[in-house]
Amino acid sequence: MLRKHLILPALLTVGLGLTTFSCGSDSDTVEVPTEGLVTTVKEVSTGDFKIESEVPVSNIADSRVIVEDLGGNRDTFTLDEAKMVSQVADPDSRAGRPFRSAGMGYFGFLMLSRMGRTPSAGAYINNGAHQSATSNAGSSMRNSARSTTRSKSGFGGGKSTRSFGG
Amino acid sequence: MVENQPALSVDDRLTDAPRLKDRWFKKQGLDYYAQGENEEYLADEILSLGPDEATAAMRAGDEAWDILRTTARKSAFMDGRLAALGVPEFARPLVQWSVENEWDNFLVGRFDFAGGIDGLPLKLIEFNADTASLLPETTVIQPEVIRKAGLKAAPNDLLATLESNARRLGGGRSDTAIVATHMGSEDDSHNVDVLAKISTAAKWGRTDNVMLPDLEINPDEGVFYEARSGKWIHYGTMIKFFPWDFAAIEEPELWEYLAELVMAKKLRVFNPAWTMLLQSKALLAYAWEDNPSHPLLLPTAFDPAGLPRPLAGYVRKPVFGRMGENLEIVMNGRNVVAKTEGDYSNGPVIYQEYAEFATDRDKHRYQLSTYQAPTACALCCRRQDDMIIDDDGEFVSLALLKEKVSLRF
Repeated sequence: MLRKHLILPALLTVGLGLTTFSCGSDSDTVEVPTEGLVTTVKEVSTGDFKIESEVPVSNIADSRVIVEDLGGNRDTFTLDEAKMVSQVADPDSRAGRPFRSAGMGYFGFLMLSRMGRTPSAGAYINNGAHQSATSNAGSSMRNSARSTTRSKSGFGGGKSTRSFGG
Repeated sequence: MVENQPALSVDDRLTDAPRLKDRWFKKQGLDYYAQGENEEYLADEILSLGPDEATAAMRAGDEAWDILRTTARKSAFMDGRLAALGVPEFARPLVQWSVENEWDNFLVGRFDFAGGIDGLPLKLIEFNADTASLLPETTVIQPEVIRKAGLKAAPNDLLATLESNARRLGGGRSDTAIVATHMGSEDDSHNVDVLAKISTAAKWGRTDNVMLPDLEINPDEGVFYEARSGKWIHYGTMIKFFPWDFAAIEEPELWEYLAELVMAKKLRVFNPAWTMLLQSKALLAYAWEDNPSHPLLLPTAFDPAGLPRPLAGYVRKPVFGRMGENLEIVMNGRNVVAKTEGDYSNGPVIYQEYAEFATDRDKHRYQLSTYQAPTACALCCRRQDDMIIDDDGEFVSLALLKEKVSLRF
């Protein structure tokens, strides 16, 4: 057998996270979120999901998407799980629709790792939910966002060091 | 398929493999493959192929290459197929650009086949199009085992063909270096080292082995590494040993950055992004759809009901799975006779008809593989005493039976 899950010692010293970097030329500046969100999407009719609430949380790692179906059953997904499903599943499929809906709100900023335009009211279950999200989660995320040049290291860091050979 | 050739039993052409000394592995820098948990990885036997078997396998590699490339090129511009292949929407512009601009920029990949021995028909199992492993074993270990055994080697021009291919590709720019990058696994590091040596041999330029997390990726400027404080190396070519599907699914920002650099021609990446299509096992379903009943292909579908003979057995596989993880072999439509766990339990799956592998008296199943660079240039083999070959499999060195038949590929 070939054990492929060994960790090279050097990986333990890798630095993670965003860093400013300059190599003598100008770069675009983007704003990235620094806090997270717990988004609840609710199935309002068969296959149709709307955002019911968005509540800010201090750490991006604590972000969650809570999906509630017509029967009142709830499933909770982490940010990584939401990213994976939204990128692999057909957005029109039963599996993909809740995450497409979540991505149309402020949770979309987390999935793309950058701030964007104010989400439209149509993504929310009603105007009250939209206004609450804008003044609460949206405001909090914008106030805490920080600017960075578009340069990044640490890709793949902190993840499994399994072999990717086939 | 082997034709007009008496079926040779696997058991009749297994010979003892010489055990290479620890100091030899140390000298090669390949201790990893023979020590500790990997002590039993290299099989203690050599399998000798008949010349017709070797020829047939090499031809199968080239034929499978043509079939999958044709299917991939067609599928690259069909949204429905791209979705089923597991290519997210945001990733499609790069894949399509890559098809149109990098179609001939292929460095190396490996086909895995069932059959090809004991008179069993060769059947394509999958293509490792993006991060094909077994490079150190095939280029360094296997030749030494066969040499010490005094046997004739099975076709193995991998190093020479890789170098020739690399010269054709001409990877480097005069103002940048080449980075051979991986995620930290020691096996991956050894595999990418083989490619780094090829880069050097083909005179691409300075080539560094750097782990992906240590690279600074600026989508406007390029890929950089701080070799020492204040000393930055700028890379214009990347030989990567992480898959495109990993970037697309788990690190979309990495995909976005690489896409911008590649399409602005500020970075060349090997293998190019279109290989994500061939890496997806879902392409095998479309290959079957486009080439129904092709003798080299196994029926493959997105649902067992789409198979012509589901009761004959099928294997449920994650589209981007690796190392035999998260497979299920189902017989009679409902009996799960073998199953593996792993990291690929989420995501889309395909169903591939179950194929017979040549099996010895100890119940080892033998999987032949061909390397493509991009033509077929080498054979290698793994075996396992289980229905599924995963990272418990052994690497079996291949020799050639000395028969009076000339090889033509």
